[in-house]
Amino acid sequence: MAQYVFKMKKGDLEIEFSSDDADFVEQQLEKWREEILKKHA
Amino acid sequence: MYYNIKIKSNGSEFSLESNNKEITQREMDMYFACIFDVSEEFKSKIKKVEVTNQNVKSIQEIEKIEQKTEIKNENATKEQEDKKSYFVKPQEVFEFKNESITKPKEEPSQIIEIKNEKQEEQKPSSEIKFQNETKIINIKDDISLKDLQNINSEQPSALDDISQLISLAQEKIDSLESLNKTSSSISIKNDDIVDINPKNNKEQESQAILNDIFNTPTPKPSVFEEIEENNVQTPQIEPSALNDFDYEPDISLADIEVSLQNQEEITNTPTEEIIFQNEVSQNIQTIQQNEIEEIKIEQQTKDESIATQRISLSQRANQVDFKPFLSGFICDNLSDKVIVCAYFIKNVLRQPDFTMKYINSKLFQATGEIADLSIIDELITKEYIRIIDSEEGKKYCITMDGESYFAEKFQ
Repeated sequence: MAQYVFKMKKGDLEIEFSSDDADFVEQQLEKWREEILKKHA
Repeated sequence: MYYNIKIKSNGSEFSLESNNKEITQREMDMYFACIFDVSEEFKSKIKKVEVTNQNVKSIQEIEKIEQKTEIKNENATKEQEDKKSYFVKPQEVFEFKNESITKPKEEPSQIIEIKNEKQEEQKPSSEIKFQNETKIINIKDDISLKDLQNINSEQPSALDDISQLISLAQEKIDSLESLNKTSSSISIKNDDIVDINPKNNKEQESQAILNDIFNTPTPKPSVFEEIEENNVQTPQIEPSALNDFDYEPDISLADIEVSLQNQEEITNTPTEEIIFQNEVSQNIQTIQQNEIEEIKIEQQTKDESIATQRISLSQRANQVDFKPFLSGFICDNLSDKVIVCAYFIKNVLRQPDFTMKYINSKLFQATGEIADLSIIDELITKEYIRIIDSEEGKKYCITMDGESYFAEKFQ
């Protein structure tokens, strides 16, 4: 069974996201990517 | 499907493991938005996020803490001071906190303002009322003109009228006193005239007339001596007194009549009053005794009349015979005879009830027959006769139905 792990850091803070739901991970990453692009656009 | 989130901050770690996709999505969105300071639209979807130095807490824990802090506002303020927001916190959270912090600070201030307003409103009103009351009391207590004049300097318009009224009242009082003095002097003048000028024919004549009218004795010399000793009147006023007496003799007589009557009523001594009261009480007692005697006599007459009526009834019962009465009716059986006899006893002999012995004696004298209990019971069942229970024994009397039966059959 596949497991997807993502880590995000900003300063001292660190967020780790892990799941076996590939679709969910894909949707979340896409959403976060869009938001980051909007912020820096 | 599993979802795991871990957040680390200064060595502390928070992890969230669940099988619910929506919860993990929401949590990740919040933390992502807080960390990377994303757009307002994305942040508006986030409700509450808060991270402390030591522990990174989930939303549920934060809500529980906030409920506790709402109950304990003082502890909440201390905790909020210690907290440091590492994330960019959403506006809703800050707004809520600001309200929670400002409300307890604003409420007491409002209360204090209200108290101050009430105190500021009450004090002047009470002072004004107190001032008014004191002014009124002063005016009521101090009626003298000096005090009014002193107050007049403060309020001239209102007190001018009062001083004028008081002056008018004093003038009227003075005039009345002068009138009283003159009237008293006139009444004394007449006596003095008699004393000083005993040879005046007019005065003697008037005194004689007065004595004749009222049958009053002449004034004693001791009274005149007392008047002379007191020197109540000066001899200079004598001519005017004579003139007054000459001009108004009739009016003076009328006044004297009234005064004498009043004097007689007033000059009752205590012993006389006691005697009068005793006489009145004796009269009342005699009247009451007479009334009681009259009532007793009326009662005796009534009793005598009742007794005579009874005697007459008994005599009538003895004298009137049932046989001629019964001969006027055609009776087929004994029960009809019994009804006729009962009617005779009630309406002719005027006796309300009868016994078996009495009715049988009447029947036996008239017909030579005697009624049995069976006949009486038959009449009772027909409701022509009813039973009356008494101490003397069982009695009977004819009913309205029996009388109507008698009337229908025999008349």
